[in-house]
Amino acid sequence: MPRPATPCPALRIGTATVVVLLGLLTVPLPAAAAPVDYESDIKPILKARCYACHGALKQEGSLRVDTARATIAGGDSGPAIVADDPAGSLLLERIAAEDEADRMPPEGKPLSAEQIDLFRRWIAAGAEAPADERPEEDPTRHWAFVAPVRPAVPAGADEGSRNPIDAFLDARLRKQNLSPLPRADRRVQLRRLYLDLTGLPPTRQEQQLFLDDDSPDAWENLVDRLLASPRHGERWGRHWMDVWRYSDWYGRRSVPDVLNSYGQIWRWRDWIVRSLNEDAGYDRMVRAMLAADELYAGNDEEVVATGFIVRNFYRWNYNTWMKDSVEHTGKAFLGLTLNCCQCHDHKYDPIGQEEYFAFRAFFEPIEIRTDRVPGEPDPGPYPKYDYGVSYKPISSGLVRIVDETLDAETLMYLGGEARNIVPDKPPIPPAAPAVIGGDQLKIAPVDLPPEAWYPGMKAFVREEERTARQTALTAARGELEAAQRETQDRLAPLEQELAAARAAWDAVRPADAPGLQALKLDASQGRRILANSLNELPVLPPESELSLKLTLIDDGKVNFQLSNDLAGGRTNLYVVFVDGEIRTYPPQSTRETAIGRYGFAEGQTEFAITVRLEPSADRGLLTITSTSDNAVLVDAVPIAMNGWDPAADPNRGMYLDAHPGSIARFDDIAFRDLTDNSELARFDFEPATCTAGEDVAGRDGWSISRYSVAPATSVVELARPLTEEEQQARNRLNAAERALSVPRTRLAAAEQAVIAAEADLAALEARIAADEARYRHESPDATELIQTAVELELKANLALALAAEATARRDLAAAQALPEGDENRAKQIDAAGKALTAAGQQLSAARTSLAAPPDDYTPLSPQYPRQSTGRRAALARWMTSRDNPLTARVAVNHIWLRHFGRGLVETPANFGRNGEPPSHPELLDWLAVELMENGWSMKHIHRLIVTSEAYRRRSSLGAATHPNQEIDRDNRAYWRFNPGRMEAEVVRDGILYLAGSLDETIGGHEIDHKEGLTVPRRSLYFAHHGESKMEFLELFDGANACDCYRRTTSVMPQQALALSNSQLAVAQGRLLAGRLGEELGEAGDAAAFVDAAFEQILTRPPTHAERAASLEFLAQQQGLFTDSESVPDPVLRARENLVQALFSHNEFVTIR
Amino acid sequence: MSNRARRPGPPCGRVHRRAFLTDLGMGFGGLALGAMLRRDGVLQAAAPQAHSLPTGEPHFSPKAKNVIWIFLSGGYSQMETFDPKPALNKYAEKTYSETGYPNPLEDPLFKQRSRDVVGGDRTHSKILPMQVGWSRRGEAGIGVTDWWPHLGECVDDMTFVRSMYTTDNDHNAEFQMHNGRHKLDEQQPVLGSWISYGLGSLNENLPEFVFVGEYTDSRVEQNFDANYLGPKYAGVTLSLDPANPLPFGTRPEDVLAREQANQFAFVDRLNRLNAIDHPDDEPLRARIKSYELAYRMQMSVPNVIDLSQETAETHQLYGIETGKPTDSYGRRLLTARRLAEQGVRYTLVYLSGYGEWDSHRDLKKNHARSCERVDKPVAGLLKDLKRRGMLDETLVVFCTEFGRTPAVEIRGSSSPATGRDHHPHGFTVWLAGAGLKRGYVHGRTDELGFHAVEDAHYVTDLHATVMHLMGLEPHRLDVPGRKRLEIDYGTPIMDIIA
Repeated sequence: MPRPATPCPALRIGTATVVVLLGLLTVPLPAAAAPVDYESDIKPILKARCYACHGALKQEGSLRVDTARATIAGGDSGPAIVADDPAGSLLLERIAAEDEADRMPPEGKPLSAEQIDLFRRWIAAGAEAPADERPEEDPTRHWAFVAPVRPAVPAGADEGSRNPIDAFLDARLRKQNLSPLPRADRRVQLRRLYLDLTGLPPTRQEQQLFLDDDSPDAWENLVDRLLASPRHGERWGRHWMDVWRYSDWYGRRSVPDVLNSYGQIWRWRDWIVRSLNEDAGYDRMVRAMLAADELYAGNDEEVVATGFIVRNFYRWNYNTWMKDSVEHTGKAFLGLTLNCCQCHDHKYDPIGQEEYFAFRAFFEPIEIRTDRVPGEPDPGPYPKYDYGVSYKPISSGLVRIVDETLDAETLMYLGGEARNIVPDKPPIPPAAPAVIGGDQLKIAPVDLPPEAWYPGMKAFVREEERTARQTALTAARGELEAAQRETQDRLAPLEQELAAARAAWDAVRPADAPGLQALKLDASQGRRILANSLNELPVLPPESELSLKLTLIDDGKVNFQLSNDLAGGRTNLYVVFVDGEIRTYPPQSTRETAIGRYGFAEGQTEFAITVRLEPSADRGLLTITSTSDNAVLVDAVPIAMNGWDPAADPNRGMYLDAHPGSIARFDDIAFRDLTDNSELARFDFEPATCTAGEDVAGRDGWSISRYSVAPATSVVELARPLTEEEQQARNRLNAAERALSVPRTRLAAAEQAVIAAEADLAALEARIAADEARYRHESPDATELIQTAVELELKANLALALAAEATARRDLAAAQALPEGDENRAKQIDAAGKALTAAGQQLSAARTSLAAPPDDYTPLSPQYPRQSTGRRAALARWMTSRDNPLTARVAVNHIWLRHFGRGLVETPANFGRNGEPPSHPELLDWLAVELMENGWSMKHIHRLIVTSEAYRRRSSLGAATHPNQEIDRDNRAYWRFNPGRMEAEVVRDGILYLAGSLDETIGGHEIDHKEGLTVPRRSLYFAHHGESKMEFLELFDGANACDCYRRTTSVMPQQALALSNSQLAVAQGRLLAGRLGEELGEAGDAAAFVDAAFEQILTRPPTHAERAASLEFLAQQQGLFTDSESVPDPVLRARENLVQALFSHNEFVTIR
Repeated sequence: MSNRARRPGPPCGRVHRRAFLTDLGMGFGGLALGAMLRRDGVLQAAAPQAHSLPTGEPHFSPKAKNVIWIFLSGGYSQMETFDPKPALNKYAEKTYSETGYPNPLEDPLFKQRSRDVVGGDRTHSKILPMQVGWSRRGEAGIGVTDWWPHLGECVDDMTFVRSMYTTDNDHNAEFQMHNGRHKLDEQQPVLGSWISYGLGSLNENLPEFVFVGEYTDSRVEQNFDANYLGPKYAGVTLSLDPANPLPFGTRPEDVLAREQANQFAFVDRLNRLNAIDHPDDEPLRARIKSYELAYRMQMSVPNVIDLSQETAETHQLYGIETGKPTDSYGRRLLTARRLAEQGVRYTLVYLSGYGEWDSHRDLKKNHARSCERVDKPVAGLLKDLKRRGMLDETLVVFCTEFGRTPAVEIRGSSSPATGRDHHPHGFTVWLAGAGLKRGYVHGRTDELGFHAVEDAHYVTDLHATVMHLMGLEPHRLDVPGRKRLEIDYGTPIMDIIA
């Protein structure tokens, strides 16, 4: 017989649900002839398969089947059952229908033949049912949907100082005739408490402290001390991180590419730890996690709490982000399985599908936001999703939630498929489920303080910006002084030498200059593309001309082009010589088209190229003449200019490109204004600017494009060799030019840097003043201040660009002054050339802005909407209001679960009708009210619980059986304490702590989980996410980062291997053995060591038998090494073995 | 199945196990460990709900004892491997609509079966001809491309399913191939974990579910993640490095074997002493036994991966030879055979780098190279299993996450169009061994290799087939509170079962 179908993942708690003990779910088949019993045979099927639509929750077709009477009475289609007449019973007809459209139930598998037969026989036998059968309870009156009222504490035998928890528990024990076990041994209690409240076992010293304290309130004092320990926040922080699904970013860690959660979310983890240590109040924590950006706007310490929502982020699918936010807000805080309603009305709880979308609407406006924090670099604005782009995690600043789309609409879709939006259905406004009063929320937009929507208003941002500029100014002034000091005496002689060298050169200068030098691109191997950004070229006049000379030395593919986007490489005025063919782009196209031929083999190797530029017509007229035979190869052919105009856009330049296998010579590249025949720009590679034998890259605005392939070159060469005399003069001139340019450019750069730094600081102050006036004071002076800020910023930008240019020139001069053989020379020249190109672009941009100033200055940070919708604030307030029936109950249940190993409600994420009912409903309500009425103090609840008698009871029966087991084998009444196993983190942290290695630093950036065996920080600080986790923790059932409302506990061989062989266990075991030996000193014989080791690791001395076994083991192990050279101290080695063995002892991982 | 170590027992084990536990008391390592041991391993001290674990008995008579699941990551082209399509050559350079066949992009199946994940369905309509020749191989005359000279010799032992489809058009389909779920849905345990959960071990000294392979992308771990079944049922990564084959499975370098053996025995002794004080403590008993098992695992695993015990001829059969492209995959597969031989239930062999087959460009070059590395070792495995008689009880599955588009993929204007894009709509896997028809082809894609048009199977049908051959009925393995959809169970492909 099939198990009842579960239409919804009602509870996801892993294999904690799995136990060998009972096969409860296998309902035995009744023997064929046995009479059918309504209560045991029929009703369970109805309940599992029919009540959802035909019960108290819903009455489809006006039919309900939760009593036999109602079933017989039937609905819109008449009676569902006719007693004694299976053939005439509609219910039977429908459940047995062949046609899927008719068959009931409409979802899931059809009822089995056996089940249908049960119905048939039950009807045939008269459809008998108990006369006093009662219908299902009204779902809206389900216990968890009614706000808790503090119940009276039951009276008991010993009144007075009794803990109310005991009063409630004892009442049930008495009723069930159960006698509770006595208090556990003090050491057992002590260990239990340390592990529970701090996640670390007590050391021998800590044990002694408590054992020596015989004051009546020793226990209470210890409780207070442990609750006050910073370790407490870490311990319980990890618990709540389970429930709240803490996860570091993941997706594609290896790329890296953030898809889920987000970088810097560890600040939320640290907030959790801090809030718990400060006992911030559960209500306040919940409010902060849902809406700190609205409720505590501007408070960055609190705003990181919205990491709860950030964690659900999934870059590839916004609906998944929304879906997880709804599901886990519902489960974590309300114990409601709202996720079921994404596809249909809830099958068990009175929550409709539309209410799912109403709940989603709380989150609809959100977006991720990254903010700067003091002392760290600005993470920059959050990058929106772009297909194919990888987003590395941010490594500075904070991540948080912001309402970005204030009018975001939530549209309802069907079947859980976001593409199936219900047409014409108006957007659904935000609301929580009506059954718990969530439909009455008042949602009002929240006006945010300036710091919240404009982080650049924060004092620390201004201060850091100011300090950075002041530092820059001080440095610039220092450099200027140094430059002046170091150059003042050097300039004059260098200038004199230059004048002399020039005179000497002029004296011998050949008559045929210009035309002496040209540029050779040699791509016989590799490819060389030279770019020139043409920084100095002005706006083109109506008619101008570009001309150049090209000589092909090796034919292949050589092109000349102007680019309308130097960075992006878009191409215009394109002329290419390829294997005898001349091609270009016809006007308004980028389609390569042949327009002429040349005969390379026949000697047509030198060409004069002119392009008459007609910017207004957006074209050029190309003419190419072969200069060897004066053949006109291309005659005034129109070619595409595609909007090219150098002055209008800083990103426009010129390219010379020799493809692999080509060698070409370029010369006399000139732009000429045809109206007056003046030259606008000229590149003739003559000695005044270029030196023969040098690569042109890095000179005169030339740089190498990134598509170049080594070892091709672009070297300036001589048309004819110089005479020795000429050469010497030329060399002297070059040397003199270089020698002088070093101090000159340095001085110029230093002067410009001071100007720039001053301007930049002044601009910053003006921007701050304007910010202050317009945003904080909303002052009428703002307009003027804004104007000033704009102007000063433009000036500063220009000054900064000039400074950058001057610096690049300085660096270039310095690089060129390096000896020719210096291996860094070429690299530095190249880098300086690129910097010069960039500075040129920056300068163009600054000049363009000056010519057409913008309306506003640059803000100090991104700006966000000045209002937030207030949706999440309303949700958070409602959730933590005294009237909310679920929040406090769910919270105390989670707390109880982690103290006692099981919840008062066994399904901590489902308090709905399909969840488990509470074992002690009154205690649950009493604790919930107690929490709320004590400022939602969790430490208060912890204290109450751990000072109860129930908490201090023995867990061990000390015998194979106990009479109580006959009555309550599962200890539902808490007649004993439930023994448990350390969580994964406690195993790891405990080993480190007992060995004295634990680094108690709190918080900070997540640590790579691969370092878990060697870095002695607490486990919660290591990277933990859906993609992978620390193997050691994983083996001990570490939290599932995606869903962990409670932990599972397994016993498996790999755990034994981890405790025996891991670097962690071995190294720490050895450390501890050494330390214990030192503590014991001279008096530390083997027996004393055994006692100390047991106490330290297991919090108890050994039994006689254990001591004997241990001594025997020590002797045995020692014997292995008596003659060993590799182990100089066999006694210590044996002790190390003993300590390691005790870490492997079942008692170490067990909490009794 | 005569060598099963498992004792038959009552379905929920309680009485039987208790009786077994009272027997506890013999020395370390002296127990004949049975199925109970494993079951105790998940005993929960404070488990709130009762649920009967699988007994380890198959639900019906199984045809296969163990599985070797070979996975090729990135999506191999169905056309260039095991589903040759001459029509592609005929209509090369033509658009889908110019072929005269119905345009597959307009077929309702196109949207029905796949869910777009990222970046939108890219449409490619100019057909790329087959990048390799093909011929009919074996007595069965099954079309296989020329990139499989060795596997071509084995077609009469293979069963091809040429009509697979999946729903994710991006590489999360890889994990979907293992756990049956689209990435955007709640994740599930992988097939290997279900089998480990359902059947347990044939050899208590070895893990039940083993992963053999290397990866630099940790997402590959999702392929052997047991999810809610718990880490116990996850695949154990076996490194082929004899020095460190198992996580934490190697004695620290400076520890003597004797020293550690004594230490294990001492822990055992202490725990047994402790058990006297806690006679009701079942997890303690489970831990005692898990220590014995741990110790034996540590001893057994290095032996299993010691390939030097195999003959030179066997090495040659798998292409194991230093410097050869087949060397490392040959080692993985020979190890898989040895694991199967020793009773490991499920071995997942990762036979590529992550995404290796993802040939958006240069498919010809990339596939040719990848095939060369895989062909001989896999053929070697089949031949080896067959000659040892193991093919009758071992099931070999060879698969990838999706196929590739019949049309060429164009990315950017500058790169030459030489590859194929992701293609969830139709792809080919093959199986061989226990319980299967041999030399058989099931299902069909359309003439262009686009849609699975005949006997189409979602990936869980492949899972269900494996489960069925192993004697498991997936519905009977459900865990309370964990909902599986009907599609998660799949339907066995009965047509390929002999």
